[in-house]
Amino acid sequence: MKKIILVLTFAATTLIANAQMLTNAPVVSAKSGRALFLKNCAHCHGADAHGDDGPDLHNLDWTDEQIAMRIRNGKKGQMTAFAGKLQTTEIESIIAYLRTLK
Amino acid sequence: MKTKEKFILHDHNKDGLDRRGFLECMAWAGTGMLWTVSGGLLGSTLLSNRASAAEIAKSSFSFVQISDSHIGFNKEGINTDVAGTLKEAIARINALPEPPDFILHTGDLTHLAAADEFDTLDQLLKSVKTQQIFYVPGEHDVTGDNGKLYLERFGKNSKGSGWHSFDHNGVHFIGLVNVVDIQQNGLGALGAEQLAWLEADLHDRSSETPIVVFAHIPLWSVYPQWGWGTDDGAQALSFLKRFGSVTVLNGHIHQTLKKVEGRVTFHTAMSTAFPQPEPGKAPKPGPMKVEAGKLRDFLGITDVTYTEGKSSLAVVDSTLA
Repeated sequence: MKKIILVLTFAATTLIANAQMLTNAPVVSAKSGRALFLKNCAHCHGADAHGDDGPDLHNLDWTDEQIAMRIRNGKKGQMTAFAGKLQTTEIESIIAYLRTLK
Repeated sequence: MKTKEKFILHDHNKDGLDRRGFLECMAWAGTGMLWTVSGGLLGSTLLSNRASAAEIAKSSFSFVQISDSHIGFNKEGINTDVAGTLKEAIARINALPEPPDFILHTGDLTHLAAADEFDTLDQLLKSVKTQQIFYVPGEHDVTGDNGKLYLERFGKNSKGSGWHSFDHNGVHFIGLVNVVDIQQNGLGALGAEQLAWLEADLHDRSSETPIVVFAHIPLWSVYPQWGWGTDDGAQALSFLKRFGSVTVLNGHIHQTLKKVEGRVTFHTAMSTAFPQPEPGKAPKPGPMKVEAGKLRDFLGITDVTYTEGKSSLAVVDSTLA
């Protein structure tokens, strides 16, 4: 049974990896989220994300969807609307990075 | 307006470099400060009377630096009408004794890099009495799209992310972009491709050519704790070391700051939108609230005059007060 599970796990992992290679789909990761944060968010929220012109982003009690909505829609006069500028996976990566801020 | 003056010239190795003073050699400038650079030496006087302005008017050509207009910014208690204060800056330019040959905008044209913000800035600057306006982007102008909207509107003849150069009356002007690849420590960066372009751009030029470099984030280390510097700025400055007269104009820190190192002089400009605190004088570098009615003491323009044949530049900062 263990052998079957191992084989299935390996097959699934290979399929996912191949699919990503074929579509060149970006992978969601906190590391790429940090890079995107520096490029798009740090000038208002600070390079350390502890806030400056924009608020401190540590220990956010918003849901992922609430954060994604704010990133997509922005806030008039205060925050850029990133809809059409950042891809879904990029927004997800930024959220993954924000979740590391404790 | 509070004015502090401090000039340091340390050239212990007689090589034109002020190593000890590189970080500490700063001078805070206030309203009506005139400074000149000639033969690597800095002199300064307070522009206290009309005669000084008349002297400037006789010179070969002048240009004006404006910066950090942040169209779209709107914060109660700081500035709720940044278009209005930009209009006041434009009125100051249009009231100069001689129209400037051109304007340099050193970035953060907009606050949120939105199309309507870029359009508003473009419309407002159409009323400036000058021949041309040259731009470099600030980090606020490239948010979200790596500067696509900015380049479409203001960077049509530029290279890469918006860098470019041009000549005017024997002076070589170089606009650099250090806001697209912000580093882990928050510092700006030029990147290898732009540095290679800069080296090639300068390669065949005579060392006697006066050089003016303009970029958004200061090219030298003003206050790295707040990201006020350019990670690979020293490499760019090394290409400029052989030139007899180099002036570096920046924005980003929303206050006038000047220093001289060897034959290179640095100057940062006030914003037309809102002030920021002096380095390290506040927990964060963001927009600074000032006493009611005092905002215009902290906003302004920079008028620069080049005197042909003298390799000297005169820079006058004027507030909107």
